[in-house]
Amino acid sequence: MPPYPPQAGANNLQALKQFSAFYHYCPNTLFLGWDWDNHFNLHISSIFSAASDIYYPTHLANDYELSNFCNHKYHLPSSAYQWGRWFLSENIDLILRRDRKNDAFGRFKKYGLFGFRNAVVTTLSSKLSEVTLVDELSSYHALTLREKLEEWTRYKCHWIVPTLNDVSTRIFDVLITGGILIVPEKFRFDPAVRTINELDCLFYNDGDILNPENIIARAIKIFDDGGIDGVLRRHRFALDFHNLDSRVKEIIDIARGVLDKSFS
Amino acid sequence: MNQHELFNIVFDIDENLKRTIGRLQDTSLFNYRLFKLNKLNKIAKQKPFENNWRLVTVESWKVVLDEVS
Repeated sequence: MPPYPPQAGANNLQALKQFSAFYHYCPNTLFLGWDWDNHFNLHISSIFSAASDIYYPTHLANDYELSNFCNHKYHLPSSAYQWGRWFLSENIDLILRRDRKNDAFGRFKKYGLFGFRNAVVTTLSSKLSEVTLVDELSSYHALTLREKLEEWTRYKCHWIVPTLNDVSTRIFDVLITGGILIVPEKFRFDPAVRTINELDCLFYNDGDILNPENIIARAIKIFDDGGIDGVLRRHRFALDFHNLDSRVKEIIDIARGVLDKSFS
Repeated sequence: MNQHELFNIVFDIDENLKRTIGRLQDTSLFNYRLFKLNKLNKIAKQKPFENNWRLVTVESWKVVLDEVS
């Protein structure tokens, strides 16, 4: 039984050929590739790393395979990415709203590749009405930026169920919108997760998946005890250290350093 | 599970990937990495960051990145 079936379908393979051709067509362009799916999609990631002058995998996975296509590879975690600074400051009323629900939120797309993840979400949804598995997310993508922000700020806490061992963008979207995180225990010593204030992040074990009420109650209490100050602390922390602009700045800083130091 | 069974599972990912792993010691891969190094060397001489090269990225990130450029 193969652990994973081939991931690159016919359409993806065509796109990969085009991307590879594009890379070779542009010898005077510096390709900086930040890969968000290197934890599972080895076909696409192999081409992506081969077609990047400097490659930045998001997840600590598949290092052996992907290193072979790269001269320069640097791990760079995911980030919040949906809203800009000005947009968030103009819509701060949503982040500071006082009508958040005493509930945990988590809407996850059903991926056939990730049976364990799907089973965890299904188990949770039997106890938590707002944690659900959906067939597609097109209705979310059709929302305006403010509508998306309204959805993220509607709840006090968010339950994170990774596909594999990935620290996803969702974690930083929760923080930037002021919510409390409930993440797997195995994330406790992840380098990116360790930067998060322990007040803002609870770690769940297998028992919590079967009986989530206790950890949800603790998360809601932490949210309520922290009040507006806690919301602003989480928002400010994510905005300063874990938003898209911070990561892109780091990507460019690393690239500048490589060109200055390795080729001077 | 014995070692043979374990290896069968680990390496039975799919034919494409096995071919990729098989190429790792191939001189073509070495030459490809050399090609990339030479490309970077040429780009470094053009000093893209000092000469204001244009940053091109995906459209959906524009709303976030335009504010901090």
